[in-house]
Amino acid sequence: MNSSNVSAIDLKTLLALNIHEIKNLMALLMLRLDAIKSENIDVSDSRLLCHRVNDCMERMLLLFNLQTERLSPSIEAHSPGDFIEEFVQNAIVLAAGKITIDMDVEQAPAYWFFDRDLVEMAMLNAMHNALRYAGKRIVIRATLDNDVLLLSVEDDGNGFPQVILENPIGTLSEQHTDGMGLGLFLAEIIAKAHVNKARQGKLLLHNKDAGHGGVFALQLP
Amino acid sequence: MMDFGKKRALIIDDSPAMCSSLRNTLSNFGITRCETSNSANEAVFRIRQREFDIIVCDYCLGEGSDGQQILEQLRKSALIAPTVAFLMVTAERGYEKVVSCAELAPDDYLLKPFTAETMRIRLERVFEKKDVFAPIYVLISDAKPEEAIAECDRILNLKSKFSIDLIKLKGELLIALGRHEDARLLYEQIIAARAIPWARIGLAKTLSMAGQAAEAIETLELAIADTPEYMEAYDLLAQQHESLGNTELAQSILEKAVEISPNTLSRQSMVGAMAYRNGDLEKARKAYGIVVDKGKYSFFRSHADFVNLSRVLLDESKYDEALNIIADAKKSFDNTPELELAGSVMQSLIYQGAGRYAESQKALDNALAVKTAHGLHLSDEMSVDMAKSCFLNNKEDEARGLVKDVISNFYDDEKVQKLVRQMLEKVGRADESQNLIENSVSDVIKLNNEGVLLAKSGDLAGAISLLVTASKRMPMNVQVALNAAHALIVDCDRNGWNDDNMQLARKLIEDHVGKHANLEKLKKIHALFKDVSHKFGVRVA
Ligand SMILES: Nc1ncnc2c1ncn2[C@@H]1O[C@H](COP(=O)(O)OP(=O)(O)OP(=O)(O)O)[C@@H](O)[C@H]1O
Ligand SMILES: [Mg+2]
Repeated sequence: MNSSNVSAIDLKTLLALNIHEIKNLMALLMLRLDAIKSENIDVSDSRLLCHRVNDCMERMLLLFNLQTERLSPSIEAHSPGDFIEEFVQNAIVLAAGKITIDMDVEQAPAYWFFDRDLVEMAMLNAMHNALRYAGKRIVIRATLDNDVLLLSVEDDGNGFPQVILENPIGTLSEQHTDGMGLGLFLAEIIAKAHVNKARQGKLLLHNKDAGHGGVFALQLP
Repeated sequence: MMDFGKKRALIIDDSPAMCSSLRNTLSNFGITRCETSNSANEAVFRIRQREFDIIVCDYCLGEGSDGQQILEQLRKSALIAPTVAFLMVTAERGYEKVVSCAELAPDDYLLKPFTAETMRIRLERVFEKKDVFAPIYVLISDAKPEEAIAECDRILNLKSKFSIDLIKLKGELLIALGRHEDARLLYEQIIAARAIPWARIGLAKTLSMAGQAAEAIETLELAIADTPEYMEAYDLLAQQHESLGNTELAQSILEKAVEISPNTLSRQSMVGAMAYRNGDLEKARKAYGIVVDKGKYSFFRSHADFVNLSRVLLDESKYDEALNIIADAKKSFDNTPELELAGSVMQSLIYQGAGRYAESQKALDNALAVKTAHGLHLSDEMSVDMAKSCFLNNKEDEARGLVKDVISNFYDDEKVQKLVRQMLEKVGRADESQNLIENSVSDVIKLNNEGVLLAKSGDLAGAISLLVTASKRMPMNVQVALNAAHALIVDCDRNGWNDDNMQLARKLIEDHVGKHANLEKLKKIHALFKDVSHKFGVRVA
């Protein structure tokens, strides 16, 4: 599938899937809420559900807009260090102590030009994925690599399946069991919308050696 | 964790539920002094009453106002200091576009839904940044722009993560000081890394200051092609074209900008003014009509909007409507001498048109009395209106006096001369126009020469008194200002350091440097100012 031409996707199907997903999440959330009444239980699961509901809505909006116009990011100067720190703070709350979240911004530039909200959206999906697949630890990184900003989410799970590595966005049309496969698709669109002069952003996926986990990275020129 | 305990906060949101949740969140950060407002007007009322450190404002406020407008009006009218943290809250992702294209951005914005943690981190960052900028803001408010630039450089050398904002501020300061060469280099350096809109706009400003109109226009057109929502580019482009005499093109550029962002009333009023200058009464009426209508909900409306609208209606011979607008203005505002004066002048003109001569005479007399009683300084439009009424009511001496004052003040401003010429045509005195304008200009030249002669003959005190007084009467006249500054500096050089005089000289130079940076005479006098300061061991940046 060609990511710059979104009209190729069947919007109707996607929206229907999205709404379905939201309903599922809301159902889970309601059950959790009922449980809170009776027991003294941890609310971090419910918080994650809220996040995912919101993600779904954001995606629907983005998809809607992509029907009529190309994604045009609002590029401004931000500190990648600050961006990652805030992101990690929120992720720690979501991980609720079950998974360690570390950050590494040693090599990050003082400022960089990117669309904070769009990049956050792409990174959030990566984070939700990682929380789902990680064993014990997730590392969020910002580095400068060849004059390009690299933002990555690294986990210690089984790594991406081979089909996804070969074609991260092509799986969209196929049926999924654990999600819709929209997250990586949109991440790629978001990365590519970041253009500086002749260079274009990229989505990079790879696995660490021998099942030591997957690495999701956005390359922003 | 930062201590917010001493901060005072204001929350502006039309939903009371959101207000109270936000207040709760802030109180968890230790902020106990927190007020809430459900509307823009109420918020402005509170802000006028006391100072806040943090303002959290919802973007969508309903009823003809949005958070961005409030922000722009608050910052432009200096109702909130640069040290105040302004945080926008919005459910619309579209706001991101609004911010990145607005002249004034909030210190940060939060997309709903957000966590308390995010809000806390963002607030901390805003204050971290304010702390870095604090010494610069102090220097700016002390009117020490050169020192402020030096401070920007000092912090930039520390490789601050706020480098980009520091560079932006430094560029603005350089431009305000007329140092367009330095500013241009700065902007070019940014653009080489990334063509962000504000850097392009800055570059265009420096090109225009250097007299390279064609290059400025090209840069602005490029900026608009890349980011059509960046409004400031249209304003500048229109200005460029108007000064080149392409007035219709200029008007259509502003109209396009208003189409894209119809809620910015200040630009709507610019369209009105330009259409009026171009004789396009219909467009002028429409634009001013919108300003008056929409401005009804704004705390920042002005009676000048009403006066402008009634002037258009008068020119269209719609006398009753024109009178109604003035009556409306009197109902909508407190009766200040300024309003009384402006209202009376317009009334006298409208009555003239309607053939109600006695009433016209009476209104004009009232206006003249208010002017003398309160020693009011008139805007150029108002002066021209008043002169027109004087001509029509057979007070020719007063009329000529008013015209002379306007022309000598704005002797090099094409727009003002055009305004005067159009007015003289309307009162059937086109034949006087050349004479009147030339006389006024030659009177200023005579006065200048007289001052220079006094200085040369050694009567510096006489020169200073003549020129400084004149510069107060015609503050826009760069020649008078520079001659006055020159006399003040030479006096200092000869007769010893005089701090008050040198401050005044500095102010006279700085007031004109923005518009006349290329003037050889200005450069020379500025250099002389520095030399003399050095001679007395006074450091100037
Ligand atoms: N960190 C990871 N480790 C292993 N596999 C992953 C990881 N992240 C993604 N995947 C695989 O890639 C697929 C596509 O991910 P993507 O985020 O696009 O969709 P999703 O998470 O399944 O659904 P959603 O549209 O809700 O995001 C996932 O279904 C999963 O099989
Ligand atoms: Mg996903």
